[in-house]
Amino acid sequence: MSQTTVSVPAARYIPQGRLGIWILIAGELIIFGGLIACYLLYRLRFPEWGAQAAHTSTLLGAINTLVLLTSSYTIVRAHSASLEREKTKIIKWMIATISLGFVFLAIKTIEYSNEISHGFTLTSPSLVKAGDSVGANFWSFYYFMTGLHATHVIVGMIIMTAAIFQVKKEKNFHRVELAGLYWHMVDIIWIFLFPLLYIAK
Amino acid sequence: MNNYRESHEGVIQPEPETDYHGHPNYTKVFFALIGLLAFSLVLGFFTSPMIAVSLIFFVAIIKAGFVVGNFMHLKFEPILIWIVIGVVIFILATFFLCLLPDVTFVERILAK
Repeated sequence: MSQTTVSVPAARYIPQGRLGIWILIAGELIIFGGLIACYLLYRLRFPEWGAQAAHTSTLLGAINTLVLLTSSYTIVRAHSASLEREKTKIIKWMIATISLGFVFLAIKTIEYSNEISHGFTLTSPSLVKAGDSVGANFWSFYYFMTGLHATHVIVGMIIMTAAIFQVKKEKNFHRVELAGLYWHMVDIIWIFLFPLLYIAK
Repeated sequence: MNNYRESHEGVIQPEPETDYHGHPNYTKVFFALIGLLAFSLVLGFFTSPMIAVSLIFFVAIIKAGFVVGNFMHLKFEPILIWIVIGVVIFILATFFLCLLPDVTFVERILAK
C-alpha cells in the first residue's frame, strides 16, 4: 500500500500512545473534576468550611504549587531533548522532575503531620464529638483529594523512572512525552486543589 | 512533514517520535504561571469568600489553560483530542450546574 495514496482523517495520524494517554487523562479528569465539583458545591452550601480551611498552611501549599509548576517546566524540557534524542539531557531533566516530585511529597508529609497533630484527620472524631460534623466533612474531602493526588504523583514518578530506563537503552524516546503528559495532568489537578483548599478561607 | 509507517494492523501511523507540535517559549510560559500563582495568593485576601473562590477558580482555569495549551501542546493537537477533553468538560459542567440549585438555593429556602 502506497502511503501517498492513503486518504484517512487527520485524527487517525495521532500516534496511538499519545491518543491513549489523552483518553486516560480524560478519565482522570472525570474523577478529580467530580470531586472538585462536589467540594465546590459543599463550599458554597456551607460557608463555615472557611473556618476549617484556615487551618491549612497557605505557605506550604504555595511552595508545593511552585514545585509542581517547576516540575512541569523540567519535564517539558525533557520532552524537547527527547525530540533531539539527547540522552544525557533527557535523563538530567527527568531526574530533576522526579526530585521535585519527592520535594512535593516531603512537604505534603510535613503538612499532614501538622494537621493530624491538631486532630484533623480523615474522620476528625474531635470535631464530630464537638457537634461540628460539617467541619469534619471538610477534612474528609481534604484528605481524600490530596491523598488521591499524592498517589498520582507517586505513579507519575514510577512512570518517569521506567521511561528513564528505556531512554538509557536508546529505546522508546516518545515515552518521555507520554510520561510528561501524565505529569502535566497531575500538575493541573493541583492547580485547582491549591486555591480551593489553601487560599479560599 | 510527518514520517508515516504502516502498523501491523494496516493502520497508517506517524512514527511515535514524529513531532507535529509547535514549540512555544516554555520559559515565558513558566514565568507567566508563576505570575498567576502570585495573583491567586493576592486574591485570597478578598473578604467575601464567594468572590474570592470565584476569582481564584477563574485564575486557576487560566493557569490550567496555559499548561494544557503550551506544555501539553493541546493547541497543536487535532480535533479528536479537543473533542475528548471537551466532552469531559461538558459532563463536569452539566453535573455541577444540575446540582447547584439543589445544594445551595433549594436547601436554604427549605431551611427558612
